[in-house]
Amino acid sequence: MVLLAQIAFAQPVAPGGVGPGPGPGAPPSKAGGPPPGPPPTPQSPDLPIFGAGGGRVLFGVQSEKDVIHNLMPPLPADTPKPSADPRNLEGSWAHDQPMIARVEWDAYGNDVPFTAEGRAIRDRRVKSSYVDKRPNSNASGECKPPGQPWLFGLYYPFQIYQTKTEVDVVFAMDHAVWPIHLGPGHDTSGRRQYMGDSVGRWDGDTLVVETTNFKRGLWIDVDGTPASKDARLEFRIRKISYPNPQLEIVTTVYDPKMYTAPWSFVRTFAWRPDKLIFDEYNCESQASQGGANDFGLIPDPDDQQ
Amino acid sequence: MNRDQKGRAVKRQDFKGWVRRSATLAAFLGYVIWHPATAAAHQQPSLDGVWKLVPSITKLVPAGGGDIPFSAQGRTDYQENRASAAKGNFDFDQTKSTCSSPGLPRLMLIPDRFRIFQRERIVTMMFEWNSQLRQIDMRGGPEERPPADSMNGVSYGRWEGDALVVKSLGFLPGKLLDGVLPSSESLELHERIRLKDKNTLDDQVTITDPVNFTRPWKAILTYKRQADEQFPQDLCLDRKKAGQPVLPR
Repeated sequence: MVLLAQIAFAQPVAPGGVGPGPGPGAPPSKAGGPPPGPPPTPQSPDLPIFGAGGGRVLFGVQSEKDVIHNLMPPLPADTPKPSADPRNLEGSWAHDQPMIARVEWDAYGNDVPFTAEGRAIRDRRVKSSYVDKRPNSNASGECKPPGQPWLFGLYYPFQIYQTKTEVDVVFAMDHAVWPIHLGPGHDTSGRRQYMGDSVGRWDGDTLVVETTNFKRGLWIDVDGTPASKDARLEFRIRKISYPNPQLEIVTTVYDPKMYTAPWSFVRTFAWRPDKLIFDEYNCESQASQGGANDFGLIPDPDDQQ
Repeated sequence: MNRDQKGRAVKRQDFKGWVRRSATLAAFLGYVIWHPATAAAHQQPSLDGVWKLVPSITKLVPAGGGDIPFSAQGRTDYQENRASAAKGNFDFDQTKSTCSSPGLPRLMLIPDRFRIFQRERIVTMMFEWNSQLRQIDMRGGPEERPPADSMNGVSYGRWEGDALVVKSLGFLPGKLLDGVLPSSESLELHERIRLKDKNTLDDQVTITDPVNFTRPWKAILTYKRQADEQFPQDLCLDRKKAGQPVLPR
């Protein structure tokens, strides 16, 4: 919650709802599966990160890289390694790319295919934060599980635990839990949950998770790129190594309300066995005593979309 | 003679061979079983699974009966908390008033389920109530007070035979041990968590807090294994807003 307020107020750049199109660093557009390899390196620290689900970086690429380096210094040589079993994703992981505050391009460098409504919501949130200086609250600002894209987009670590029937992703942030049922079908009870209802299956060595039935709309990033509560998100999760062990998650957003076509973005996560014990995230006290209002966050008119 | 000797010799050789093979196998098995690492592994039962406090209790009581050894300060705070609760005023209780983490050991008293993931370097308890988390550091490092205190503090665990022995410290002041018992930043917890049988988990909690108690005292919590089911996502703040009980009854 503190982080959201800091993010909202510390943003120094000029306002603007719509970012530029793919820049000189953008990879060529293509269709099909996820792009091979790690995301491209930005061409200049003054430019946003292009392609691979890139967009505007909050405090500048170098600044974000410094943050990552401070949070995740090089691991000692004798550090425990992840399981050699590609289907064993267990362990501690943390986002190791500069955080994208406002995603502008999909995994292939194409513009995010907003509908008019989706773009209007994103632009209104950006204006609210950077022009009006009255940023909107979202679930995380209210100490509620904000959904997978937000949780994976920031730098807080998470852990994965697996059983024969379940994969549980436990996040330090918001003490959120993402339960994934390795089973055939979604919950048909009509129940909606903040982290949605998730069904997973293995496609080779990739865990494919389909999540739907969200309780409220999601913020995909900190500037408020929206996903409606009826969105369906597909996560393709696998271990990679470029050259250190990483987890790669390709998220595809299916949301006709906010987007004219499905689109994907890629995030990678470093293997961080040093992040074994989380710092306590006890946001309820603040949330109960003024909470988001105390941080100058105002209710979002579109959070029930 | 040759035939007899040959026949008997073959039988003796077979018998000697059997003895040699058996002795070798026994020696190997003995080595495997009594090798420290293997023996330790054998003695470490898996606590994995879903557990629930049975019977459900809301108050910590000394094991074996007797009174809680309050200090003067502890008794005063305890009586004030009880009086306040009797009036329906729970301002002293951060969990009831704000949905804050209950901290330890109160988290272990919440009568909803929790799941244990027992791994080599960590034992994680994932609670159904408000998606709370407890992590026990099994890496064997120094059992130091953390730089910042918290509701759950830090927990360091090690195996002693079949018991998971856990030391917890680094707690914030002003939190409660149960619904009314006070605790201070001097609080330390020592737990022995072990399977009583395959479906029963015992947690012997020794409470040391010289600010509130004149001596350490012990309480026993018992959990029963539950069906291995996914927990529904629980949000205390939503229940509080809807006027529903913050804590399960």
